[in-house]
Amino acid sequence: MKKLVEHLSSMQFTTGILVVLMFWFAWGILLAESDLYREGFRMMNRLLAPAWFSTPDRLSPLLKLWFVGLCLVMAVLGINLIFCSWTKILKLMRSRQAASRLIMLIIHMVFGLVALGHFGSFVLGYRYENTKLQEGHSITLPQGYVVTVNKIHFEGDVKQLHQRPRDARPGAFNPEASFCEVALTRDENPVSQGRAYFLRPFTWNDIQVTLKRFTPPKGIKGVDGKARKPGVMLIISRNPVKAVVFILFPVMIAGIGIYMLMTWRTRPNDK
Amino acid sequence: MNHLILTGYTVAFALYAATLITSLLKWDRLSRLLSVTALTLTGCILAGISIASKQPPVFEGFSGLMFTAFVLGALGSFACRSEDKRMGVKAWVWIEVLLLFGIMLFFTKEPPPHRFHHTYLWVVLFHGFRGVALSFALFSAAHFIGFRMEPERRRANNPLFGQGRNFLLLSAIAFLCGEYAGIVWCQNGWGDFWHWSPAFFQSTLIILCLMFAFHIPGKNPRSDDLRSVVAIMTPLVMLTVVVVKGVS
Repeated sequence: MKKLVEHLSSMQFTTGILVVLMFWFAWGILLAESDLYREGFRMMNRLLAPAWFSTPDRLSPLLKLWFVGLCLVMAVLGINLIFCSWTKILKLMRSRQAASRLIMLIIHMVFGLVALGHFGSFVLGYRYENTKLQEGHSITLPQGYVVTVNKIHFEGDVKQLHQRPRDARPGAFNPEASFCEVALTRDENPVSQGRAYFLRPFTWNDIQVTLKRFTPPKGIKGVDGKARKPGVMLIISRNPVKAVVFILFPVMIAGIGIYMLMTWRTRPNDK
Repeated sequence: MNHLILTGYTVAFALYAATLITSLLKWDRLSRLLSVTALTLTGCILAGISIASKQPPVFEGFSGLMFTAFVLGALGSFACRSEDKRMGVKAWVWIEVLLLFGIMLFFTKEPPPHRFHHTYLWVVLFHGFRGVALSFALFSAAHFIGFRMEPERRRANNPLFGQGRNFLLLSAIAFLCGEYAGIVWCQNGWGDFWHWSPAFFQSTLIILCLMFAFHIPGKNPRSDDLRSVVAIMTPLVMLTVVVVKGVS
């Protein structure tokens, strides 16, 4: 039993897992770049994890294998982290110069929580990607919430909206002045309202309404040629673990910074 | 402006080549003068790119690599200790700078087009910190190459190893700062702080390389040798990602 614990908490074991993870992510890059599996990853971004497996043909078997393998390797890394941290705590209790080791232990614990936060983000909450709405339209969310687009303000040439965003002529529209006004209600009671701009989403608690792009107005190419208002493509998401990651990530960076300052090696005999 | 940038690039390339040659010849004062001149010129090119494109010079292949070369050049000019050897850390830094300039040959030497999100703080920080992280990693690699070139009997407690490790840690911090800026950008632009995408996998691969370098067990010369090899490989992985992104 003691030998098993020693093995599970050893650095050799850690480096072994890290090597496996490196190969796994390199494989992930190849899969994500291939035409065959690119759409599978897009689907993984659109839906949360339970939905990937609810319909048999939704995710290809190879992507399922890759994902399950990744979860397994991460779980083994987590076990290694727990055992390694536990032995470090025992050593810390006996050590005199424990400050830098304590910092390192905290960094590792925070890293574990950040990794868990990443895992939680594709399991918890909800996500409605590429939701196309016109002015006055709404979308119903879980727990009785409804998001309604009250106003769409687009400053620029609407003809540009028929092109791909990357082909759009520079200066053809003003992204800083274009927005959509949204209202959030729950059981028909107003909760909050505000504007969503590019890179400046509307948020209320965990719920976020992100403006992805404007969509061409319906009928602009029609007989009358009369320009109508464009629509919007929104991403509506709720991620309950977002705040945890956003707080812990800088804590981890600060911890590494403090550790670096405490252990900065300037002299030949520093170890 | 494009002609000025191209001329500046060519002259800076030649100045860094001259810096390397004078450094190898141990003409230290001339080498220092040339390196500072090359650094000033690189700074001027970056300023020109910034003025012409109305955005910080950290985007796309050419200006991103020029920014990395600028930080690395500054480290080589002001953060290197004097050495007796010809092929010391400084010489390796100049070789790395020349490698960056060599890679820049394959990119269009002009200011990147102005894009709305290129003036967004978190996007600027994401790309800027990545450039800084690559510079620190290359500077660290120069120390580890110097360490590997030492005879084995002189490798124990070698200060080059310590300094290489310091800058690799700095590189990790800069890279993680960039990642934090990236997650804020992703959250505000796509409604979630990360995505299953090649870009995410590439970032994770770099973080894993850095983690691997710091987790190699043992306090013996063999472990130090392995650490130095991984530390030298890490900026190559980072550079590959930059080049692949710049080309695609």
